[in-house]
Amino acid sequence: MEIRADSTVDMGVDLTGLALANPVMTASGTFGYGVESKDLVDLAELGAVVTKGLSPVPKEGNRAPRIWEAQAGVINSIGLENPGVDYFCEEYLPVLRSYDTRVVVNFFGQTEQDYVVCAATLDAADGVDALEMNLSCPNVQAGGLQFGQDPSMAGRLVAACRRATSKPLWAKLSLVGPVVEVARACVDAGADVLCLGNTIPAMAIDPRTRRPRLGALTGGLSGPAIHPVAVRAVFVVHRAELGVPLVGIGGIRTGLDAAEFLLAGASAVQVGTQTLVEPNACIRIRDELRAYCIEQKVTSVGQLRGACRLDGDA
Amino acid sequence: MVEFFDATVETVEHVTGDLYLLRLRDCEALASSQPGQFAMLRPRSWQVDPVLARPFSIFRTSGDRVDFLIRTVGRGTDSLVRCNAGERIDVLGPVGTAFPSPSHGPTVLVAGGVGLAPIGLWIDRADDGMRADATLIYGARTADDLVFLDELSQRVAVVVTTEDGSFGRKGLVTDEMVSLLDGCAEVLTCGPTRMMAHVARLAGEARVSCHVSLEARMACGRGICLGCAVPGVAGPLLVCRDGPVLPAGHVDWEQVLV
Repeated sequence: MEIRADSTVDMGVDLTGLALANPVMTASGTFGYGVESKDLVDLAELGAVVTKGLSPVPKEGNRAPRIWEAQAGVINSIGLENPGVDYFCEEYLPVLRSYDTRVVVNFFGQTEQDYVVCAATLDAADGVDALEMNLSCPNVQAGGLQFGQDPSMAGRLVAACRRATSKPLWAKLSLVGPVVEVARACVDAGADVLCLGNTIPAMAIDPRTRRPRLGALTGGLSGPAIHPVAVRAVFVVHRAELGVPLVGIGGIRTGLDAAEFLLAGASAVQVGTQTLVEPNACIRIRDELRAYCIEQKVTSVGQLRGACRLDGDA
Repeated sequence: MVEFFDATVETVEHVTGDLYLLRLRDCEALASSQPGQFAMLRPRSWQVDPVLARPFSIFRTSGDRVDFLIRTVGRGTDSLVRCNAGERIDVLGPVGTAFPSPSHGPTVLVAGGVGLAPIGLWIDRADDGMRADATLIYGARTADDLVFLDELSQRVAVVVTTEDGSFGRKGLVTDEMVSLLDGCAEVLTCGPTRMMAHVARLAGEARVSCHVSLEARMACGRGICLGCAVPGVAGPLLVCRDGPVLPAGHVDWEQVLV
């Protein structure tokens, strides 16, 4: 698609008080802490940098191998390895702050207290525009059940973080489980934005050696294979009319892939796996999305939100 | 400096067995690659599958041309060597660490199979003095798997081993190593992990410095995804950023071989 120089499309989006210049962000875990890519990617062109997930203290990763390529997808079991939220605030954030880009910081924990510590630290940190909480982590105090698999547990966790920060609080949900119920619980507890979603639990086995492909045995599937699953999740949560913006995540490779999420009801998107193989994927996808808007004769990308045509629509 | 750019397939040549030579043009960014560094390659035609770029050591450079020695081991490499001339390839590189350039004393180069690739660039980039001081031990399963022997022999002393004895000495590269370690300043090696572990042990026993070039599955090639971690003695090492070339003593060989 050619972009006509004389065409103007308003690519800006508003996510409950946080204005983005365009709706295409990096997905957590696929762009590090942003600063690693400053020489390869113009950070100011991104809708936002969404950082790799942070925990209250540094966390080691899983045993190797940590990555396996599935069909049209990637299974990873990195293990949320990270240097800890304090290290991020001291070492990476000051550098990131010097670039004209929005900064969304992803965080997680093993207990409610872990999450609250992260939220409070990031609330106090200058240069953090929004907090994205990863709900797809096992709660060690609830027998390892993921916070995001149980609506009441998810709601309690979001409420606790809500009390710890006045900044925009985004809840990143799992694509499996009772997604609408969990989404509703998060919004009732004060989440400003819902992100749908995370990788999908997955496994691969080498049939010849009969051994699992990953050191951690199982991992999370990302990439084009999960795109329709995530589009459906956005669609059903959008239909529940919870009153907060949605961010679509999963297998976006082109502007049209991103457009599907917007039509399903998302206000913005994140690009993960494609960012790993193409560092500036977000910028290309933004340009393709703008070209799609021109083709569709919409003057603002926001007009695409939830504009999927259903029975009875013109 | 690492760059992300698109290159063009000039030729794909079947060398022997499962080995191919892929030549790309429009690769000015790789011209100054150091021996041991690699590039991530992904044909545009892959679209949704295969998803990930594949890492390959830089084998030779000439102007904006770069050669990669590729062994087909799965659907990514199978597809890559079927690329047609003129196809566009996304390239990230040069990335990773390089072999050291020893300033004095004999160097023993140990290459197993397609592990010849980074060793080949070391030989290309070495000066006459370094080459005169270098011996390459090059091992393969069988004579048919040996490549570029004539060119190599013109530049450095070469000892060939094959597992089936069909060419050179019958046996493993490590059988030929010990006698060369006396007075040796540096061992540089690339090949199967088990081979490199053995090479590293022999070099260690002879108190000779040894650098190895590791391999791992990876997604990004630049320290972002943390997918290529291998066990090191002081914690995990990222093959893409801490390596691929590492001092042998930094690798936890016992864990790597599990």
